[in-house]
Amino acid sequence: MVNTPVFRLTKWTLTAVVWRSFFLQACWNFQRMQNLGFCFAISPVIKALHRAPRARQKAIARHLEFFNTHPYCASIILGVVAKLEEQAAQAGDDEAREAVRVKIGMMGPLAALGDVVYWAMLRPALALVGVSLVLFGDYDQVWLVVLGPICFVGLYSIAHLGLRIGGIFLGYKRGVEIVKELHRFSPQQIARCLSFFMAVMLGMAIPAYPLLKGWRVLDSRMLGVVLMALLVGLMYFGLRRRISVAWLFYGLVGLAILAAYAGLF
Amino acid sequence: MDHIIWLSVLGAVRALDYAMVGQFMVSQPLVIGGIFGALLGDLPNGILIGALIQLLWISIMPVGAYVPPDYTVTGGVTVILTLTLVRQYGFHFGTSMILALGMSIPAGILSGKLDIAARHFNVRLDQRAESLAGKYGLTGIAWANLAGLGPAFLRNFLIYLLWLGPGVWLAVKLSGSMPPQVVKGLGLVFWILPALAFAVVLEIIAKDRAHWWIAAVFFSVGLLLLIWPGEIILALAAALAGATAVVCWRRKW
Repeated sequence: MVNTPVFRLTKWTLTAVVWRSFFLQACWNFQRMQNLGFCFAISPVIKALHRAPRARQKAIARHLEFFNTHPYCASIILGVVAKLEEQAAQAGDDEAREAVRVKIGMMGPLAALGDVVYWAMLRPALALVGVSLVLFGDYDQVWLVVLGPICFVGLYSIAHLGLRIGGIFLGYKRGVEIVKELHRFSPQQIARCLSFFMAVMLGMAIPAYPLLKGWRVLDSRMLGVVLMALLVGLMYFGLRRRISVAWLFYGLVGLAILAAYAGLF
Repeated sequence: MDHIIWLSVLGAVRALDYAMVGQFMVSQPLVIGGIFGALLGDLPNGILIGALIQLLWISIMPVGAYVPPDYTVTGGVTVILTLTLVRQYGFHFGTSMILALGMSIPAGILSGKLDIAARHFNVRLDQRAESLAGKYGLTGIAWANLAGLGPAFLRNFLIYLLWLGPGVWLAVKLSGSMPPQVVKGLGLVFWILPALAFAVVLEIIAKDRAHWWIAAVFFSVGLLLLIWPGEIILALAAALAGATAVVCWRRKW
């Protein structure tokens, strides 16, 4: 079956894929997860490469199969699949089995990479930077406080948009070869580095908060710092015992009200 | 009433960013606190409330088939309730924030539960997608995919509407009738809430043996403050410089 005419994908087609990749999880479902989003995102490629209705239907059907990965890292798969679809169309192969095979092979490892680097570490680390700017900012200078959310979204956008836009173009340019380059990344190493960064931020925040907010215990600021460290340790102990944040919060409210009734403060 | 509807629409639109569209993080409490704060005329306090709630649920994200409570909804509702209580009714800021947070946590839990239901409903959309594609081609796929946004918008709009309509009324009634001991208790929780937030961060990084680093930085800052009492910024800068030196020295992680 020869699928003619065959076009090369343009940068505009790939730009359309970038835009549509933002809707990858719009119809996330428990059966085939991100399949509809993936098919929606790759649609410009299908439209450009498959003009014959039968070939187009086949392409839609193969991209409606189960798909689930990290939403940011999906961009790399989209780029590689676009390349493989193009190669298959140029060869007159409307099955494009290689594209399906590579898609299935890449989604698991990239999901793990994205979950560790973006969800588990980068987002909390940058949120911590933003929150620190707010908590320790000077409320007489509003712009300093506003810097918190701006820093968080700004720095995070560089990290995720870089991958989401660059991933599609790079995936298309390198094709399957990109897998070799991805092997060079060590998510654990990145996670450890971000973990150290968060540890430093937290080590500074625990004493800085009571000092900057003027906590005093028995008229001593240092005892205020010790009290904060003890409270953090106590809450941490609760979290380690698998008590949720919500229950810890309600428990704290209950204890504080009881303490007030008992006249303890 | 008008502003409640508009705030609910805005809240529901930004909630789409949480897991469905973009995930640009504009739905995060830190950001939405600023947006609602600016709209309600108190930008710094809006951001402050958002920042505290951001820390409390800093590591919670829907990953794969795991759908946690949507605490970004909790964040948005807390900011609006608190600023309404403070600015329109003159209640104390810290007490109002803790009361509003206590009332808003169920909103996030409800949103999470309804999200799970919506993802089950989306299975039907997925099943219809192939017949839609046969009929309308790629346009059918686009309809099926974007149709998933409708229930998500509606669910969060109704949650915001419920919490901002009867919710504000209830919060005002509660705030006006609280005994002084309850007011004192809530005020105390406002001051120690960052301790819970810091413990949440500690839990994320503890598995990488990072608590030794935390202890090292904590005691360094304490020591520097003993040497230069009152020079908090100087102590923090010195600790940061020390940490940078460690990063440079230990190139391989």
